[in-house]
Amino acid sequence: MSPPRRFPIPRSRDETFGEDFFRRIARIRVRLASGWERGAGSLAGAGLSMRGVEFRDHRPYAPGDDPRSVDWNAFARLGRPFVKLFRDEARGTLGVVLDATASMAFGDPRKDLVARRIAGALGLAALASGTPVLAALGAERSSARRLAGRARAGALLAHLDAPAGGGPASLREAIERLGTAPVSSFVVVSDFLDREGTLRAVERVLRPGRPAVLVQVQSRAELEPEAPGWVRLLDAETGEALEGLADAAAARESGARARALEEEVRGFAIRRRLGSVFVRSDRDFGDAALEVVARLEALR
Amino acid sequence: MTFASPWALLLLLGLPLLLFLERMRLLRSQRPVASAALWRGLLRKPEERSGGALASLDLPAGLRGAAFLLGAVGVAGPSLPGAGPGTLRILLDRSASMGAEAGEGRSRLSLAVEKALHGLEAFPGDTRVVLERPPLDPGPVSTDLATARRLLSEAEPTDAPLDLRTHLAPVAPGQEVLLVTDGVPPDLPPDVRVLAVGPPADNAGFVAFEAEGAGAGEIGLWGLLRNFSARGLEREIVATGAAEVSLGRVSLGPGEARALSARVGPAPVVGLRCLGTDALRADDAVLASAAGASLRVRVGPGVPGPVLRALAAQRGLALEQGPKGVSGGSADLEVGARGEGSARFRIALDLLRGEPFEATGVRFLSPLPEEIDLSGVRVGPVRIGPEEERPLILARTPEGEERPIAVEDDRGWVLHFDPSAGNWKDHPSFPVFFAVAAQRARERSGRVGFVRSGDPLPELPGGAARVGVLERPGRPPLCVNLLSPEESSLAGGTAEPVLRPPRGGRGKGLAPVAFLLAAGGVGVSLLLEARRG
Repeated sequence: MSPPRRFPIPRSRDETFGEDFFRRIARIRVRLASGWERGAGSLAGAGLSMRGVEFRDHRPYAPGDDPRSVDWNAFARLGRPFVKLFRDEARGTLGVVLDATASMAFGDPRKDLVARRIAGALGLAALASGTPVLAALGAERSSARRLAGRARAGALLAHLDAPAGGGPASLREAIERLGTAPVSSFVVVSDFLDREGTLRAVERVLRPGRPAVLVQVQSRAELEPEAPGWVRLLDAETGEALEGLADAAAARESGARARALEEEVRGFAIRRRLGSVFVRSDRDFGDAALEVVARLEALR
Repeated sequence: MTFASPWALLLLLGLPLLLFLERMRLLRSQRPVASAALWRGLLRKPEERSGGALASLDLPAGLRGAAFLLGAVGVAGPSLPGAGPGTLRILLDRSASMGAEAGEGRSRLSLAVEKALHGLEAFPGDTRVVLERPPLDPGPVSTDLATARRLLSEAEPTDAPLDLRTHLAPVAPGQEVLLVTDGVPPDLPPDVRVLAVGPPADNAGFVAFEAEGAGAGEIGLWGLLRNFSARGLEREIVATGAAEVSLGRVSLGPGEARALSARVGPAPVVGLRCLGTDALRADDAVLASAAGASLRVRVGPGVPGPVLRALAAQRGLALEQGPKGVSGGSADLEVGARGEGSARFRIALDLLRGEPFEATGVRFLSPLPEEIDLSGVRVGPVRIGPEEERPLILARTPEGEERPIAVEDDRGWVLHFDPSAGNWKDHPSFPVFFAVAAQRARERSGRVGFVRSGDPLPELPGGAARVGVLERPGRPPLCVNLLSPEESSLAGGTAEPVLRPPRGGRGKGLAPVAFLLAAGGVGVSLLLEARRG
């Protein structure tokens, strides 16, 4: 159930995937591609298993192999058991979860701008290396699209550029779509303001051998808020209203809470052996994307 | 700080309304945030704060409030003392001593005014003048140079004493003040220029007086006469009662005081008088009245309601109605349609004699305050008063000539029109007219005497603030004349100052600064709001 919307969320004034985005992608393309090949991409390249849809090769049967993978026709012709090998699609798909809920539409520049661009840069790098991408979006409604091949780059970016909206439930639903999907690694780009619900959802989709990186995006207004004085604060996602005097002391404490949230996400990642990247909304998305790729490589 | 338009400060009453609206605006404004969790429990509620709405205002709101405050002050036209270049304050001494003869049959006041007018000829025409003419002055008049010259030339001395120090006390350093007097008080502020006239003059006066019943219907009088001059004086003393009784001539050495006593027959007014040429006539008579503090006013039949109301609004009047009054005896002031009776002063209303005409405008003459704006006053049909009497109110004929419609004769004032007709009765000048008439009646009744036993101080004329009333248990209070030696000795100088035009043109004071600060405050508050929003 989507939370009540108390105010319209404006479209970002900046074009998310415009000329600036592609100019920056062009500059980091080589570094991104090499990093991808060393890190997340290599996972896909090495992936041959006995389960899949695309047949690749045979190898002799060994004790412990699943009897269901034995090629009985070859056994009849050759008299020795062989098992069939398929490209492991599960290990070759990158999951990208983008938080495009209402809370991401804040900050200057807006948090969702850099979040979408990071997700877009990672998705383009994956598609360029032949790795399919499962893009899950937590927005007004959660949605997910699986895309493969360079030709689907435009569709990927269009999917990631959906309007912001929705609340924590939408994001949790998007993350949980990875649970049943055949992804080999995934990245969650969010502000993690619904820390408990979001991390619990991440925990549910973790699998052994499925590396993940949590990218937390926060804005300067959250980390170093000004004292707005007498205000009525309205939560953009839940509609919760707070009224009173927000003085300098309250602003300092609010900023401290935002920084503590970063520490909690980082601690969760360390405990679960995940990667974590902290991004302020005014940071260059290219540098952030390279850092995410480096984390994936390290997890490898 | 002074204000050109003090009434504009009433705008400040709007400040609480502004605070209320500001609070309502803040209450209604809401700010969306990414997560309320980051602020939960951190906002302080209004009940946790001391100071109410003011304390809950933020900086932009405070700036807007300050801008409103400065704007209101700016509209009021503030100016610092002395910061109004181009304004000359003239303090004209009209005390009794200024009526003393200064030679060639002219009074000191006449001579002083002539000198002052001569000195003002070099002043630019746009010079603003604040003219004060104490004592018995309705208040300072702020006017242009031409009007000030006219008012100066029409000034007349009074019978009242004057303490110049009380009028010079508000003089701030740097303020342009011209003092026209014959008695220069010591320790003058350095920036006060003095135009002094007349040589030191003789003065002897009563400094204490007592009147009380002495039995057998007689009244015992006691007074203390003091010589304030630096040389010996001789004065003839007269006791006033049912008849005047001479007490003979009294010789007083310099600074010497002598007690005098007498018994007189009962009379409405009793007292002692000191005869002789004296520079300060104010303290030459000490009078007491059995009537106490109230001036007895007999109101004749047929007196219009507005006149009754105007009289009733005056302080110190005891109104009586009926042909002989309630308490019998003669009244101090009589107000009636025909002005008949035995009162010492009367106001005769609507004596419709003379040639009638329609007045197109009226104006007051002294002793009525001439500064009152009478434009818009319509007095209805009027008749021309006798030209040989002193005019009080002039009316303009349709031909543009001015004719007296109210005059002062030897018995009082006579109106040659119906004061309740037209709209004069609703004009602020209407009660002022009767206030001055009551003042005149007091003078005529002898109550303007310098000290009066038992009189409350506020009822005494200007300068009488220095009359002390010594309360004595079981006995009538004793009035003590506390005249200062400086005033009584009339230590006048003869040096004439060089009159300089006030600096610059007409000062604008602090209004532009206030407006500038107000605009700045609004601008900064809007900027802060924009950044915050």
